[in-house]
Amino acid sequence: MNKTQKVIILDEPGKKELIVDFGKEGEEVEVLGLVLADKPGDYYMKIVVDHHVGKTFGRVMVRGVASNGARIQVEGMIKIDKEANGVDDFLEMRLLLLDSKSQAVAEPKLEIEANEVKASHAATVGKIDEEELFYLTSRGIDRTKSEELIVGGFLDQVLSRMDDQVLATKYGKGKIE
Amino acid sequence: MSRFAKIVKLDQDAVKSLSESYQLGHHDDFVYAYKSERGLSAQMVADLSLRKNEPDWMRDLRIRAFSLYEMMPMPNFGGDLGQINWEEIYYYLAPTKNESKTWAEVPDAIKKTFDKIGVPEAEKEMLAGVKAQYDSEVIYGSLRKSLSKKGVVFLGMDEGLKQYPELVKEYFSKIVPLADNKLAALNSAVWSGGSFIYVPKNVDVELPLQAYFRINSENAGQFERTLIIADEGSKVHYVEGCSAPAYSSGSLHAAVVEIIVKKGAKVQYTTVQNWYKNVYNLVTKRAYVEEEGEMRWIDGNLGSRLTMKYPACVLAGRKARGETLSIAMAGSGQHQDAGAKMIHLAPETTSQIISKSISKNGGRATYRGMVKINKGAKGAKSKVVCDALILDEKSRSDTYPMNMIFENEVSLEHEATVSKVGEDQLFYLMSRGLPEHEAEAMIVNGFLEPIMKQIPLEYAVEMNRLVEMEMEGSVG
Repeated sequence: MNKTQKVIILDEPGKKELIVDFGKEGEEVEVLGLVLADKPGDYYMKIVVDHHVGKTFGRVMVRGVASNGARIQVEGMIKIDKEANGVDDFLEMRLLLLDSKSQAVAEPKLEIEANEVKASHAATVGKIDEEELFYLTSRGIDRTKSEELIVGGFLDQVLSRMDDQVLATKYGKGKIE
Repeated sequence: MSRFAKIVKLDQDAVKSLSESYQLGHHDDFVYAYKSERGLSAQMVADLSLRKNEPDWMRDLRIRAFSLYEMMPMPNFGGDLGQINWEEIYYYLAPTKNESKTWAEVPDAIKKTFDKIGVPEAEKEMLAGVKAQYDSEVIYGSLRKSLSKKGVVFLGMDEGLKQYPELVKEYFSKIVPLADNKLAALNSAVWSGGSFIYVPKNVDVELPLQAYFRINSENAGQFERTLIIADEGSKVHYVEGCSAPAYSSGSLHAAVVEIIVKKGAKVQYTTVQNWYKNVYNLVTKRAYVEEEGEMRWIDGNLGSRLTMKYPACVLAGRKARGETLSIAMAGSGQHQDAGAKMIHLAPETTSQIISKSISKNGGRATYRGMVKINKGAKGAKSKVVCDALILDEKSRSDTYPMNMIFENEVSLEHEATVSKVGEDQLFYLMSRGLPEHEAEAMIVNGFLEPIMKQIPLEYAVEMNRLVEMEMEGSVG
C-alpha cells in the first residue's frame, strides 16, 4: 500500500504551509489540517496538492475554529497537470466562528489540465448550529458545555482519522466519552 | 470569349474563418458618419464629449476618468491582456447621426446585419422594446406605448443623458466609481451608447426589455455604458445579447453596467455573449441592492477570445438578495474568466452563485468569485456552486473562489466539482442509437439545464443551438 497521511496543525498565530507532490502512480495521500485559533492574530494555512502524475488519490480535510478575535485564512489548492489522468481528489474545509470578533477567509482552488479526473472541493464557514445547541441544552446540558461538545465533535471529524494517537488525544478536548 | 471558367482565388484567412463555422461571421461594408483617430488622448476625450453636446459635468468626468485610466495598472489576474494593441483601437465610431425611431428609417446595410442575427424576429416576438447598438450609437429603438404610459424610460445612454440629465447625474458612476479598475476608467472616459432605463415606483415591466449589441468595424472598441434604475417595488428584466462579425485582429469590448435596485424592487439582467473569437470582453457589472430588493444576473459566455467578467451585487439593505447564474463555454483559443461577486453589508442578506463551465478543444474556463460577508451582516447566507466539465485532454479548468467572512452569525457554503462527461451516460445514449457527438451535446445541454430554464425561452433556444453548434466536431 502506498497510502500515507500528512497532518498540519496551526495553533498559534502565524503561517504554515504544506505541499504534497504526487510523483508516482498509485500513490494515495490523506491530508488532515487543523486550525485552532483562540488568540487574537492571523492564522494562515496553505495546502497545495500537486498531481504531476495520473492515477493518484488525494483527500484533504481541514477543520478550523476561531474565537477571541482570531483571523483564520485557509488556502487550499488542487493542481492536476496535463496527462495526469485518473486522478481523484477532494478538498474539504469547514471553519467555525465562535464569536463576533473572529473572522475567516476560505479559498479552495482548483487548477485542472487533464480531463479523465475527479476533482472537487467544498467549503463552509459559519457559527455553531442553533438546532444542535438547542438539542443539547434541552437535555439539561448548559450552554458552555454544549458548545464545547459541538466544537469537540466538529474537530473530531479530523482527529478521529489521525493515525498518530498521541497527537489526536493531545488536541482532542471535549470529546464525548 | 468566356470559354474558361473564372479564376477563383480563395483568401487563406477567409477559408480559415469559414471552417470555424461561425454563422454570424459576416462583415457589412458601411460608411461611418464619424470615425475618431486611432488611439486615445485627453484632447480626443474632450472632443468626443463636445461632439456629443454633453453637459460640462460629463466632460469633466470623462477627462478625470481618462487621467485615472492612464495612471492605473492593468489587472494582474485573469487572462493575458498583453496581446491588446491599445494604440490601434478606434475609441469612437458613429454610423448614423441620429437615433432612428422606426424600422423603416434604419439604413439598409445595417438592416441586413440585423436580419442575419434576428433582431426583427425578436421584436415580432412581442418583446417590450428593442434597442440595437450598431457599433457605438443606438440607431434603432422602439418602445411599446403602454410602457411609455406607465412612465418607463428605455433610451440609449446618450439620449438618456440629454433627456434626464439630473437622474443620470445622480447615479452615473456611483455604483462603479471611475477608479474602480483600469477598464472601468477607460469606459468612463470614452463611453458611447448603451442603455438607460428608469422604472418608476411599483411598475411591473412584464415583458423583457432587449438590446442587441454588435461590433462591426475592425478594431472598433465598444464602450457601452448601461444604467438601470428600478425604483421602489418595481420589476424589470433586461436582456442583452452580443455577437460580432469575423475579424483578424483583436477587438476590445469594455462595458460598464450599473444597476440600482431600490427597496423591494426586482431586476433581472440576462446576457448572452457570443462575440467572435478575437474579441477581448472586459466588462464591469455591478448592482446596488437596497432593502428587500432582488438582483439576478444571468450570464452566458460563449464567444470572445478572453472574457473577464464578474457581475457583482452589493447587498446594502436588510434582506436584500443577489443571485448569479453563469454559463461559460471555452473552445479552441478561448479563455473564459468569469464568475461573480457578492458583498453582504446588511443583516439577513442572501446570495447564491451557480456557475457551470465547459472547456474543450484546448479552451480554458475559469471560475473566479468572491463572497464577502461584512461585520454586522448578521444572519447572512450565501451558497456557491461551481461545476465544470472538461471534454478533452487539451483543455483546462480552474476555480478560484474567495470567501471572506467577517461576521460569525452567518452561513456560507461553497462547492465545486470538475469532471468529464460520464462514460456510462454516453454509453446509455449511444446504445439508444444516438451518434457520439449528439449524445455528448445532449449531456452538455443537460448539464446546463438548471440555468437554461431560468432564461427567457427564445434565448434558451438560441443558447441550446449555440451550444450544439459549438459541440459539433468537438469529439475526438
